[in-house]
Amino acid sequence: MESFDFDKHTSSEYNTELEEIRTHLLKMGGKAEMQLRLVIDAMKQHSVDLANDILSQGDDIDQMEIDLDQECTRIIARRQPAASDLRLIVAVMKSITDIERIGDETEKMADLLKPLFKRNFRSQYYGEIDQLAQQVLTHLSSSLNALARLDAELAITMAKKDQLIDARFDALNGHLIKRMIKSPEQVKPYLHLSQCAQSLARIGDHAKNICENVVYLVMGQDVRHTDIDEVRKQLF
Amino acid sequence: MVKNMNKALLSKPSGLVEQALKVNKQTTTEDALNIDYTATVGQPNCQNAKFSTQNVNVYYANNQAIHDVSLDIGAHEVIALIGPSGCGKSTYLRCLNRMNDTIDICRVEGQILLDQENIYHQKQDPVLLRARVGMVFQKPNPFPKSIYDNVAYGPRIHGLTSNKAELDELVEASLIKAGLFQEVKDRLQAPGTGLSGGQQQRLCIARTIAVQPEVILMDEPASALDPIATAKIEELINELKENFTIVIVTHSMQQAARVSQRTAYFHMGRLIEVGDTNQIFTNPAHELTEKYITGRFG
Repeated sequence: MESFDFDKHTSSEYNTELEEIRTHLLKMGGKAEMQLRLVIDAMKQHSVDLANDILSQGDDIDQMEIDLDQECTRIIARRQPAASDLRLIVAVMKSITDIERIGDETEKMADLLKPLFKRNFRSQYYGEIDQLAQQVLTHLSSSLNALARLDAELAITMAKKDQLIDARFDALNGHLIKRMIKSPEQVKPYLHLSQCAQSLARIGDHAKNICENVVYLVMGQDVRHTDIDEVRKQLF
Repeated sequence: MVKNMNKALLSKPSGLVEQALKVNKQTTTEDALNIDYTATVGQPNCQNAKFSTQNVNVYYANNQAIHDVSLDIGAHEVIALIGPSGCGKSTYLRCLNRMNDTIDICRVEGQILLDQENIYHQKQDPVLLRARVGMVFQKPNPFPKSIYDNVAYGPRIHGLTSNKAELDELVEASLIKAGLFQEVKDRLQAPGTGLSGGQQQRLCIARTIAVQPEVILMDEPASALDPIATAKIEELINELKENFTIVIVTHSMQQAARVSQRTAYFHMGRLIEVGDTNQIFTNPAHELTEKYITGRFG
């Protein structure tokens, strides 16, 4: 089923409501993406100010989640959506939870990094975390693109690529653990870096969830907890 | 009186022929609309079929209202027929107990088997068929008689009981099954027409049940009722499926989604898609089904 004319309902008001939730969802996704960019910039500049900016903007994403949740509930109550409209509402309600958690992870990272910046803690691992962060950012951007364009094929490709993020995180975390063992007096800052890396991996997981929501929305198939290669074979 | 009663039972919904003629007009524009239709999508066949209909075509004079519909109706299932006005769903429904026989210009072709027997066979008595395949209409149509006599009417003419006590028992059992007994038990001799709309419709269902049919056809049974009466009818449908096979025509997509196990979507006289109701309402396979259930037909 590939009919996504969300603007072709007999009720023009319904068209507007569905278009609005799509627009607001993409805005919310864009906001989370921007927060992650700020984290990357903050790491590069060791900037406490940028970390504070990230922490102060967390409420915006939370409010967007509440507003979208309410709008989806209202549409369900008033319109009783079916088929692709229903899948859109379900996908939006699930995706906003993931996006809100991405926002939470960026705040958590800002919180973890701030004391390191304050005491001017320097480490070679910032570079590796930056590489992981760049990879996660690309992944998140592509997932949100798949959502914007309702591109199930791109969504499946990106869902598969989450494995690369997990592999990079595992390697990095291994290095950080070794470093902690080697320098027990620096466990705390390295633990913070390890937790940052973990947050990035979690953001990758949330982006993967968004991709799975895109596949559900577009193809009507629930592909959670399923082998991605099998999914690709079945659907394309 | 009996003649009048039969007339009331067989009354056709107003505008049926007009609707059919409208269908034909729409059909002529079908090519222009470029409808993607080659065959019914989904699972028109089922195991344990009560009704098996093959290549059914229905004509009103020269106008074709139903095109080559093949569909099985499983025993003890509730199947909902949905589609826009004039799509042929009521016409198809009325083929199942030969109600279309009452329309002179109507002609039915194809095979309709009930328990493997052809219901259009020349030896088939339509009156006996309608005792096996009962019908409930859009507008409640109780006879201008008492509540008791409304329900007792069918068993009496079909000779289903041998004495008053048996008849009393059957009337009570039918009213209980229709969920009406508690509300009317103290006024069984009161006129059926004095009940509320929802009660009248349940009385009509009790009247249908009283002749112990195997299948109940429902043509928009709740469209004239308020939400509470509608909920009672829907609850009743859910209970009745234990003992009967139910085919329901409805314009309410939510009702189809709530009460049926399978849904069949008709469009311009063709059966476009049929499948599990959960699948039809979350992920329909045909674009026309999608457009209809999401309200995208302009």
